Amino acid sequence: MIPHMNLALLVPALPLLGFLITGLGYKRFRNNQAGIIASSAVGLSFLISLSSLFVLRNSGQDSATLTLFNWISVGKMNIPFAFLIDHLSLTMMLIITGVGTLIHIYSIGYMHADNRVNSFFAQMNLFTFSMLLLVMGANYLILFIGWEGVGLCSYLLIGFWFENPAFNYAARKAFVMNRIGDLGFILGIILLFFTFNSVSFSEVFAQASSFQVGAPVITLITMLLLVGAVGKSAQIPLFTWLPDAMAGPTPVSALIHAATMVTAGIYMIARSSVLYILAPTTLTLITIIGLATALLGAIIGLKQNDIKKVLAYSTVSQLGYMFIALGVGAFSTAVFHVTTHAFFKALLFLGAGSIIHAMGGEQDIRKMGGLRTKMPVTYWTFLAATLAISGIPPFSGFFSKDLILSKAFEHNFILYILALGGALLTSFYMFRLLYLVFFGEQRLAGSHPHESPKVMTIPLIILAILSVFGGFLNVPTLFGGDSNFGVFLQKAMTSFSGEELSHTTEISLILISSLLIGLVILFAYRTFVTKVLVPKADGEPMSFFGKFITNKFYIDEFYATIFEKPFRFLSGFLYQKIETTILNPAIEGIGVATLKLGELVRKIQRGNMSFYFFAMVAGILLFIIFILTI
Amino acid sequence: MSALIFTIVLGIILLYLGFVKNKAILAPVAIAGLMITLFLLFKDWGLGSKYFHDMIVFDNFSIAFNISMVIITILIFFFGIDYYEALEFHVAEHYALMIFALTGAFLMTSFSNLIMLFLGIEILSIPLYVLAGGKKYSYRSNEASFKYFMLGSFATTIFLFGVALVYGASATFYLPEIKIFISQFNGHLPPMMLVGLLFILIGVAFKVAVAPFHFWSPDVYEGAPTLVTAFMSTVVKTAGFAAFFRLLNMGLLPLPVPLEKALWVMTGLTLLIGNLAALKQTNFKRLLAYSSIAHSGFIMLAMLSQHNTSASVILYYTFVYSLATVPIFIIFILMKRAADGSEELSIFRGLYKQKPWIAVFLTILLMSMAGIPPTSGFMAKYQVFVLSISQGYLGISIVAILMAVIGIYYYFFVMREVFTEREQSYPIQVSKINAALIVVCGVAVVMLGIFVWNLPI
Repeated sequence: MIPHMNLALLVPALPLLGFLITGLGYKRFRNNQAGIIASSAVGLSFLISLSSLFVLRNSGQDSATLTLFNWISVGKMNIPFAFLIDHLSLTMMLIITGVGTLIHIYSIGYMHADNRVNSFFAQMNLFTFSMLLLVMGANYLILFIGWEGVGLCSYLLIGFWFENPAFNYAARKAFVMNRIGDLGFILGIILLFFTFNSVSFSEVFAQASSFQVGAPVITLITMLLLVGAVGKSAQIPLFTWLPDAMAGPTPVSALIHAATMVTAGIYMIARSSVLYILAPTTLTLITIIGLATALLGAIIGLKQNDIKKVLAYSTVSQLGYMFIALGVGAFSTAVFHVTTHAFFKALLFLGAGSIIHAMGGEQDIRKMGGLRTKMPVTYWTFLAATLAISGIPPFSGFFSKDLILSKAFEHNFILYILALGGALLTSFYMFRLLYLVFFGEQRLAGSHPHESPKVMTIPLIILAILSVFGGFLNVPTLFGGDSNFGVFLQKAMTSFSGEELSHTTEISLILISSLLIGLVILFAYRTFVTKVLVPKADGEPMSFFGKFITNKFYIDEFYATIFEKPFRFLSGFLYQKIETTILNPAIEGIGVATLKLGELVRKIQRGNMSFYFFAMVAGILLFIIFILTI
Repeated sequence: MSALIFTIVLGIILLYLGFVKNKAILAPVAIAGLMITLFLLFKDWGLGSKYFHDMIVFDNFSIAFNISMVIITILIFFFGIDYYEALEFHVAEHYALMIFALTGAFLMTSFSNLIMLFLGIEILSIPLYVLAGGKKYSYRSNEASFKYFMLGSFATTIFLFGVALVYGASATFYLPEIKIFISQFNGHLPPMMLVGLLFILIGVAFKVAVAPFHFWSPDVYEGAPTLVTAFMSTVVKTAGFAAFFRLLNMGLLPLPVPLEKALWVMTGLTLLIGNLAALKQTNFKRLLAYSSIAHSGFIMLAMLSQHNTSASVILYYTFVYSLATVPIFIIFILMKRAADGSEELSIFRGLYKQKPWIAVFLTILLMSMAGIPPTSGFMAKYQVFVLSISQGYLGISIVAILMAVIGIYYYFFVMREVFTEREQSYPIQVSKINAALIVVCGVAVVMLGIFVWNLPI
């Protein structure tokens, strides 16, 4: 037991408290009160997470388990309600609370005009709490509580403006897609328990070493857990909810995409690295899924015209990269990319929010333009984030993405080429976005964009600083660093220790990718700034491929035909044939019969005392006969 | 023993306090006295003192049940402050009679001799016959009193007949000796003994309103003054089951097969009749009477699933049941007062609009009665089912669970009324002390469901 470590219990407790205060008193708070309470709850959590980090460092130990109480104890099942504080969970805690705090503060400005702002902050706090529970839980069951809590909160927040049916539909879609993943996840947990007689990380991982690499049961477990991760981290085939999740207020998108929710799947796989190392088949599958998702997201992103949709597909694509990293066994690299991605993606979304705010709710990039001079802070911060996501050295994205690319190179050359291709696409559509929004002439007549208030720009600036310098957490040996972050995380999970690339190979890889990215940016500049090409309006005819991509490969329509229609038919059949004609009358019949029986029994009791005597004596006689004859 | 003596003295003091023309001092004296009783009972915990040639044994079983009954009586007395405000005469007698009944209940939990059981039952019952007729000018109250007395004395004679037969067969009143006597026969008892035991069991079954000897209870519950009904359905019921259990545990276990089968038949009948008859009730007191019969069925189930935790389960069940019943009756009385004496279920309509807090607590209490988590009523039923299933009585457990499901219907019927709007709901007045009582009981009902205890008794 490490002294003062109990302090870490406050990390999830404070957002919960904030949720209770803002949630229960939602009628009482005026102006920004709820926002201030919610932000300070998360902010304090961040400070405590930070101090927990130092406590853990000074203690010289690698992890600490905090047991709150014995939660479930039935038969051989014994599950304590415990938190595990180690380097991995601390990293996630710092991201969630740190980026979360900035998003909360930003929201005070963004949501100030909304009349349900108090519920908004209550739900945001609950979201943060669930995510903290997810990353801090010391066993799969607590992880699962957080997992489900995150699913619930995302549903609430995506559908926050529920007056709009389309938003409601998006919320439902997110929930259903996640539920599909959850099913796999819970089956995985059950199988885990069945195999190891425990769901706690320490016991499972300790026992896992007795299994051979490729053991079928481990492969099955990891596959099932992967289904959960695919749902939550929006990978093929369950990714379609994430772009639709844009229906929520923009800070929610930032929270979902950057600090919470989608990183849950990555975290879970990284946490279970011990198991995944034993299942090479699953790892290969993860790599394939990741690569496909990274490319698909990037390609769709090329043709999107809604500023948030572009960012959404970029998230899908970036998550694909994290999956690639997981698939090649570079778990700590994946978590590193989660970290840098959290910085720049939060920044991108908050910047987009600032733009949308300034444009009076307009989200179509074809109607924007020329915002560079009108919104300088937003522009410079957005630029920093764009450079980061494109992987330009020395911005944070460069370090993490380049690490992933070099790991891919170690693994397989084709994988590397394809991943690099995706990275080039990423920089193209990101710069397309940047140029269309900030350069050229303003295309929407009659609007007067203005810079956002300080409460919104200051989080942007802080995130920009993090996006620029965040990469220095993990400077590779090539640049004279010592991969601090990776080493730090190694204590919490295992990794493949493949051959190190020689420095010459590494430098040439970096040079190639940087050069190509530079060319792509130049190309984008020539297309959108010099030639002032604006993407076509919705009605205009397009080439076959253009149409295909604009319509997101018709995946939504494909799902609708393959899954939705048969289900609708089945449910219609069940309702009309089974429910209304068989089940309903049967159940009602039971109820009516019971009531009739009650009526009958009641009739015996008429208040006539001589009858009571008669009945009692009859009862006594019958019982005498009964006991004497039996 | 000191608790028993002190309680009798307390009753006598209360009786004589009637000469002082100040009603206001009665309830405080009674409550303070019962607090002392409580203290005296706690003091005896673990001693297992025996008195009168071992005819009375104050073991932990009896003390635990006594404590539970005293707590419930205190709750009822707290409510009596308000209830007897309107009554002009004989208030002291009401308190005194309830105290005397309580002493009878003490005997019923601590006997080890059939004579003591008989005395206990009679000391408990005779004050109740009087109390049931407490409203002197009410036709219904008189009817209840008369019916209760007639049917009760009939049951007493049966019981006494049984005692005589048992004595005739075994030549002893002592339960441990009866146990030894039974064990000699290896399951094949002589008919005289068997019938004698059956009569004794029927006598006790009558007291706890087990079918088919339950006929008195709906009529008496309905006619008796409501506070007395509350007392009967809680304290008297607890005492009856404590006596029933003690009788089986001390004297009859392992039960001779014919008797066990007879008791199972009674249990099944009780479960069916209690729940089914309640379905169509429109009078709230009758509804509670049938619900009380139904609860008897569940307690019987726990009792017959002979296991060393049975006693604790029964104690838990009766205590949390009483804890929910008393405030429900209190709310009912207040509603009845507001509705000019109507006892229909419909008087609850619109309560939520009128007094939301009361409505919420009433809902919690009804949920506990219906056995819905996280209330203690659920935990009580759950424990009973766990017990009976673990002892292998699967069939009857399924019947009981089905009946518990049916039970939900009529409790929710009341809830529906509470939350249905009506244009002019009855202007219910809740005094501070009653509100506090309702809140305390409501919270306790939930807390006991979360922190379940098991006493080693």
